[in-house]
Amino acid sequence: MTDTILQSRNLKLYYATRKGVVKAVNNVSFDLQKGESLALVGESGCGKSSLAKAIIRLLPRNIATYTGEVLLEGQDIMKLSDTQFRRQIRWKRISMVFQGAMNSLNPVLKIGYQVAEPLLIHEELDKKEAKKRAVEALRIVGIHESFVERYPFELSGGMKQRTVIAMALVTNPDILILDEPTSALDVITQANIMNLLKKLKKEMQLSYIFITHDIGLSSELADKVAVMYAGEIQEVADADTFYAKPAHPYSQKLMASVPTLRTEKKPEFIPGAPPSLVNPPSGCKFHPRCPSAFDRCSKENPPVFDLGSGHLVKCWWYAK
Amino acid sequence: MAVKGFAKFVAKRVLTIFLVIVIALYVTIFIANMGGVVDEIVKSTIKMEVAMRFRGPEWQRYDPEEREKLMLQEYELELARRGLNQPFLIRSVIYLWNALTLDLGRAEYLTSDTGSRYVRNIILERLPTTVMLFTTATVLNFLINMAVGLYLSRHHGSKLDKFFIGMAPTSVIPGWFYGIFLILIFASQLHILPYGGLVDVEIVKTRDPFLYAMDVLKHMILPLSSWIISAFFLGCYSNRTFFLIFSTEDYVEAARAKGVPPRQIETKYILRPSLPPIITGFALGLINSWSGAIITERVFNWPGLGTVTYAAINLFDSAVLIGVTVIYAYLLGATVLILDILYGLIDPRIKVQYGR
Amino acid sequence: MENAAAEYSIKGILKQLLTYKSGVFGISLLVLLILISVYTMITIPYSTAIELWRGGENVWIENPRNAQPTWIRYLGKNLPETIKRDSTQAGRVGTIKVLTPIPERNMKLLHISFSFDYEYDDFPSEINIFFTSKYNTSAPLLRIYWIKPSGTKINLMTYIPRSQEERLSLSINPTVSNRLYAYTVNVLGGEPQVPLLVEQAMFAMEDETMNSTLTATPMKGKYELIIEGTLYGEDSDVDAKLIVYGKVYGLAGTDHLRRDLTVALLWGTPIALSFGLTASLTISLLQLLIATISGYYGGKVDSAIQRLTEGYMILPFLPFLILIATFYRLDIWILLLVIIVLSVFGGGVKSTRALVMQIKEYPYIEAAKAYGASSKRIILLYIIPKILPPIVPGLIGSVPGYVFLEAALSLLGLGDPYLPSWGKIIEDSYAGGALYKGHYYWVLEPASMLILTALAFSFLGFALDKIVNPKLREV
Ligand SMILES: Nc1ncnc2c1ncn2[C@@H]1O[C@H](COP(=O)(O)OP(=O)(O)OP(=O)(O)O)[C@@H](O)[C@H]1O
Ligand code: SF4
Ligand SMILES: [Mg+2]
Repeated sequence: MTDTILQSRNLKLYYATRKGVVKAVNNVSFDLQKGESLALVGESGCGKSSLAKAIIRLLPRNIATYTGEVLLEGQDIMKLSDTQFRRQIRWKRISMVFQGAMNSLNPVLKIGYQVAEPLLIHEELDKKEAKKRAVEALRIVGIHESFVERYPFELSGGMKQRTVIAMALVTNPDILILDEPTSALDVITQANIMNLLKKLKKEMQLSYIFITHDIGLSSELADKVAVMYAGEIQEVADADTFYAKPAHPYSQKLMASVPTLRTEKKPEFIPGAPPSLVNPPSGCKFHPRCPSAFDRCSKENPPVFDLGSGHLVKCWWYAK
Repeated sequence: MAVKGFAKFVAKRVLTIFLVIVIALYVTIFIANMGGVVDEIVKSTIKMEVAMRFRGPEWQRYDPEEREKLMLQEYELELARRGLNQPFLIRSVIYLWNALTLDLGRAEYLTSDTGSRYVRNIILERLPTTVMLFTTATVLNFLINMAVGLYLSRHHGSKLDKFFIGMAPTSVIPGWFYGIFLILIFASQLHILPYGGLVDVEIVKTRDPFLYAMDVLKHMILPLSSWIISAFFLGCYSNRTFFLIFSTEDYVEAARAKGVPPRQIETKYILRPSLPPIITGFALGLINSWSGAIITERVFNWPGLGTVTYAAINLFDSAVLIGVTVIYAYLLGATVLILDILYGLIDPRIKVQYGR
Repeated sequence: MENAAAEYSIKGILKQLLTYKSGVFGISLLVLLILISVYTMITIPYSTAIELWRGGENVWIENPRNAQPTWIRYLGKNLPETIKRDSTQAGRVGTIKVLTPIPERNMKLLHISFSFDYEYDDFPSEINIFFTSKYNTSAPLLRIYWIKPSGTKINLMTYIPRSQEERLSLSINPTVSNRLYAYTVNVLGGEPQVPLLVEQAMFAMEDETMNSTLTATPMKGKYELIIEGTLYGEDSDVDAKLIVYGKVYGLAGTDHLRRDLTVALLWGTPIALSFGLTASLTISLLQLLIATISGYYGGKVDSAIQRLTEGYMILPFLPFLILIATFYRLDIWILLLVIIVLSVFGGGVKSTRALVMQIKEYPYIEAAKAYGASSKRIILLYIIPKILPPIVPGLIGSVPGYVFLEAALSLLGLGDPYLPSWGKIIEDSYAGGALYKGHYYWVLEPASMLILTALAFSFLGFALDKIVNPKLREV
């Protein structure tokens, strides 16, 4: 096994709202190996972005709870002060490409400046040097030098996405969190971006946390898959294992909802409504929608069962 | 290259705005002349001018009747010379030209402070006072509301913030209306500020420019305050909301993630992108201020365009009223143009569109 | 998307409104204003209102000029109310009339006595006697005396009515003035510094305070006015009515023409509500329609409408309005029409159009298009119902603007020539120098009504905005 670069232990992120406490990230634990890409999948609203933000500590104002451990090469970065975190971790070690990257660019600043900005801040480079590195980063993601002087509105959606990726890479981080990096793009651009990400990973020794609600897409890039439901991680498995034989009933449902070319089977929809994160169901959060649910499921929250070789499942079914 | 492109942008805006002004003036003439008012003004102006020519001593030896006849002849000739005996469609174009060149004829009753009877003089003399007061008011409002709005957005959710939200609806009450109350309190009751006007006669007599300026400032306090009070709560509230909305943009969060320090986030990522709409807001404020001027000047007896308008309404001095409308069309056009240019300098979209 | 797509029912909105303080406040004010309007229209029909307001002196002759509202007495000095005595109602309190024929001589002796208690802290504002005389040969000869609580009896004047109906204004009568001056000199033992007004001298304490109008104070007690006279002829008769005008009147006071301000204050309510609501409603709906057409059809129609709205921004709206109103002397409803025409392409078009563009992309509208629904159907059944809720707060919130516009036009002398509106009262008070002379009630009353109306709609609009745009609740 390779080295573990990032570990999350019992990470919690709750929001305070008018309606009550939203448990967006609830006791999440997972490991990320160096050079590995972990796909984080789940329905919209299950807490994927919240988990990413909890890791990179980009929190909204209405935080109710923010606890747990995040170990970066063994060091608990949750213990760092905000300033330390900003100076030592963000962008230097962990970068992020935000959901809706189209809007991640300031409309009134030039592309080149925005890509170079992290260098100006974190590495205190002079403008010329920073610009050179920005041009380099843009070249890597496939954007021509001449765009340095352009404004975001002059770029297509795919180019903006590439720019944002360049902006995340310019400081040479170890880990890149990608929050739905392709969701607003058309199919061809989507494929281009996916190819770019594959290429980058190989060339730059990056570790990815790749967030998507599209389980099909995750299969292209993922070494490992984590399935999230109602703020909790329900299953973690090697990509091959997962796609061949998902263990958790929710994962199975998710897989069944993907249209495939091979079989004639129609994609299934998961019946029932997504769970409330304010008043989640008792016991196993999935039990109201779970076809395999039995007595115990609604009463006790299942622990994580290890099915061997790092295949983790949070389901009572595996207690038998 | 960029300069040339920008000139093109400005030229385009000038043309568009000029077109609107032309339309506005034509509509004015059309409305005004539905009862033949413009014809009357023009004719009486020409009559007066012709009469002036017959004042000289060389005419005194003619007997009055004959002089009258000659005068009438001359008047008819003048009408024909200016093409004013033609159908309305053609006449209206002549009037339009006159209006565009500010050839506004003679007032029936009003005179300018310098004694001129020409509408142009009467109005142009008052224009600076109006522009001074209401530009100051708009700029002050703008700055105050921006500063407080920014402060509130930083402390959003605080008691003060809630107070502003609660008070915002009171801003529907217009400035002139608050003006009445301010006069009541500070002039009628406390006698510490003047009821209205531009400057005290006593001060004018001293011929001291410094005292004069101070006294004008003193007379500006109440009108300015009335406008500031009126716009205060809503202005601050909407700026605050505006900044808050802009600070939830994805690129602000991205900048925060990148580690951009808070100061820079505020200036580069919140203020800069929000500048174009803010400029638009300022433009609208200025435009509204010109209209609001008429009634506010009436309340404070401020000797600007509004007071002229009020006097013209009461004396039914149509020439002056038409003149005021013409000046307003120009004033609004000029305001929009200046702000358009400002906008063009700030918004990269326009810079790029015309710059390359 | 969810905010625009959310369905609204009137009941639901009302329920939500009541959870906001501003909503409760706005609704209660509005209900109050509507009640006032209904009450007004029932108790003072339109024609009566116009008659009262335009009726001139005769309707209001028994009212004091520029009297403050009566309740002002509870805040400070005990200001006098108007006192009336009428000899046709002899036998009533303080009213005596005796007519004694002189046998054989075809003459009658008249004795009228009016008495009243005066317990106020201030002087009356004016004193008039109205005579109704009947005679055929020669006019009656009347002597008028004034008896103060101290017992002093002053011969005010000798009066001969020249026609059947006649008004004797004591306050401005030179004879009376001279007699009272002599009386003042007599009391003081010398010339007064500032001679007292007639009504002051008649009611003043008889001491050194009579020296000036500033120091004079009213004497409290029982006053009496006596009219004695000789009438000639068989059926000759004289009746008199004494009015000692006070300084307070009714709930709202009076204006410079003695008119009861309640008439205009009450009638101003339905006028303001209907003017503001009609203007706002019509303009909003027309703008909605234009915006929908612009946004839905796009292309040339859209860009034409867009250019038009941009041009409208530069048009000198208020000068146009003033020009039209001055040249054609419009009544309020035509004025309303002009305002509507001048506003249809105003700012609302742009923002509503943006909303339409958004809604146009909704899947179910695409779907409706796909199964072949006509454009008219889509606009009326799908788009308009969706954009209606978001524009309602703006609609309600812009009502005060139009109410104040009417007031502003009135203040410029361009209001409706007949209708009593709040703006007209303010104009009257301004022209009458109310702020210089201290007649604050005259300005403050219509101003408060305007403020109440403005706040009602404004608070309601804000509360509705929070309900319809839930985003605002968060920030
Ligand atoms: N600042 C916040 N305050 C309150 N609730 C929040 C906040 N941010 C997110 N939420 C709620 O937390 C839950 C998880 O949100 P999150 O954005 O993490 O979901 P997600 O899995 O990324 O969904 P998507 O696929 O739509 O991006 C959602 O129900 C969301 O409404
Ligand atoms: S624990 Fe029970 S309810 Fe939950 S997923 Fe397993 S079987 Fe289904
Ligand atoms: Mg997300």
